[in-house]
Amino acid sequence: MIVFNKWFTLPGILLCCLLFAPGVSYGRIYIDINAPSIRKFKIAIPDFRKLKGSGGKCDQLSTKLPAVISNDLDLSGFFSPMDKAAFIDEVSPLTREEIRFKNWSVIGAELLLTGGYSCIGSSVEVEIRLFDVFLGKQILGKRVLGEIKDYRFLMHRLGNEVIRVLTGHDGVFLSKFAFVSNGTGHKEIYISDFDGHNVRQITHDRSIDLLPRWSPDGNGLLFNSYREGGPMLYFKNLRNGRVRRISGRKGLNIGAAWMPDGKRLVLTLSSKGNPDIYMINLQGKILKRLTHHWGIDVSPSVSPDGKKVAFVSNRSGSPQIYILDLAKGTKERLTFDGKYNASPTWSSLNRIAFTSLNHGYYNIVTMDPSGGQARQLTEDQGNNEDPCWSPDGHYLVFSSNRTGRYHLYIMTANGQNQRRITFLKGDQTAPSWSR
Amino acid sequence: MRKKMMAVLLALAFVVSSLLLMSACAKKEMQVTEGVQPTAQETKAVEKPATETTTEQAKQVKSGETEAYKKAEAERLAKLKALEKAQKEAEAKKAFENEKIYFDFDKSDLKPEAQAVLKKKADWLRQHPAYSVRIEGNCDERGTSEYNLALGERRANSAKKFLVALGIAEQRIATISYGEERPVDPRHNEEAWAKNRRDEFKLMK
Repeated sequence: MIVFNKWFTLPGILLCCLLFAPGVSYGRIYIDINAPSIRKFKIAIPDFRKLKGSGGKCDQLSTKLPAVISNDLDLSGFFSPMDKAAFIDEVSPLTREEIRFKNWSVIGAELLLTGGYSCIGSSVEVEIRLFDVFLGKQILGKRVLGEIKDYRFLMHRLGNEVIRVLTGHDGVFLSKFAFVSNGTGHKEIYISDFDGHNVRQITHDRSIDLLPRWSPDGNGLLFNSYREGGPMLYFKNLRNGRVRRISGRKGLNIGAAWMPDGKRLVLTLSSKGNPDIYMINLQGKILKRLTHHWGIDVSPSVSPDGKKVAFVSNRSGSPQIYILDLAKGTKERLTFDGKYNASPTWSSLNRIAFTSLNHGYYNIVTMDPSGGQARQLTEDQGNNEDPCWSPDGHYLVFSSNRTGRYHLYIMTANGQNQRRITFLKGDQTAPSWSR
Repeated sequence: MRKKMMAVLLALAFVVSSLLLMSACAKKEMQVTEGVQPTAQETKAVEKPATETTTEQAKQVKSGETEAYKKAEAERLAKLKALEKAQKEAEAKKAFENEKIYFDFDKSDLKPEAQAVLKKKADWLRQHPAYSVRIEGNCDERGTSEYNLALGERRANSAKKFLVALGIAEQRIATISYGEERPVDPRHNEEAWAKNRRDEFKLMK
């Protein structure tokens, strides 16, 4: 697949080059991704214009292509895509010359995204332009070429370019989720695109499969399965489909988390008689025993620098979150509010999210590793569990039964823009977020 | 003198000839009874292959009492006895497996009721040394699946330790945790949760 840039006006070239120079802010800072609260931009995305090609399949792309990027931008939490019914222009504009910015500013649009496409055989070339309506200026122009059947992938790529030009950060639209769903009657592992499309069933064990975890390089998944009797740890290579057992010890081999080097895991084993946290290598060999308490120690999550591990222990009488210093071996308690705090996940921006039982409901809470700046992100809408950070630390995916059964939702790091991602039969739980 | 001798001769001849006649008759009688026996055997041969016999015919058969019949009867009774024994064992096994023990929320310690049930189980296991047991630990749906897998493990181990303390060999007891993954009651209320916080016991030979 070929990706190349094409700028259409001289000011456009200059503008875009400056915007892409690292560390230089030109004029407007559109979106501060680290702001505590995000105001959404009203963005107008008219139907894309067919430049070349024939047939129903090609014609349909005029609405299908913008639908993908519009949904992505909505999920990102930075945009409010506007209703097409409000648009004044009947014919979708494409280039700056064709645009009457007044027609867009009068309906309240702050940004305008136009697109065109050409179908050639089984391929399609898509181009988009992003305009600042108030300034009347183009801020982005991008073109991609690929297979028509991969149109969602192409639009996710373009969506990432929009995010990059407005925030200075990479977009997440090409990331994937792994999760558990019981729609077949058994708990199996599935993966899906960021927007919940392209769901693929990864295991067919017809047993109990749990706790999928993407490898740091995105090539495979760790998961637990009862396929051989008890809860054992396996790794599935998604490139060649091969499954390898990593730890099949008697008792528990559960909840494996990756060390940043991608070569070691921390997980809970109970073969010595009690559920404790151990570090093992990818051959399953125990490298170090990390907890020695008679209580339950589970759910490890590793800090981004690999020096600390957050985990759950009931050593004080109820499940609470502790932080283990790998070098010193010390354990410090993190959570003191509430009777049940579990499922810690440690973000790349050094913040810990977990689920906390409050007033009979489980809610997602975030906190600094020092215990400060605690924030509750969900508000008693059913139970909200199994949080997992996006690799860039700006989003969380979690499982909620607010509509009855458990489905996956995403939200920003400060709890805004909660959006449902899965619409499958049964319950979807235990999400893991890949790069 | 000559007249007397003639009378004696005549008498002798009469006796001899009557004797001859009688033996001939006797022979005839024997032949008749021998003819009766084959018919009794025939009726028996006819009745044997048929599984249903009327009581009259059964009486005839019973009165026969051959070796082959005795053998078939013995086999039938033995079969029935074996079936009864197997059924009794299956019932005892079922009773053992149906009796579970229950736990309080977030706890793996054995309540007095649980200990009483375990004592009964230990007795049964002592009386049936051919069996071993697998203890399955379970939790209600509340809480995280990882924590519940560990809690289920603790619940299974708790029961195992108690059985070992009561003298059951450790090698006869296996444990597994299913966490919150195998509820018996799928509802989302206290009643269902209480039923799900349990250890189950499965017998193996």
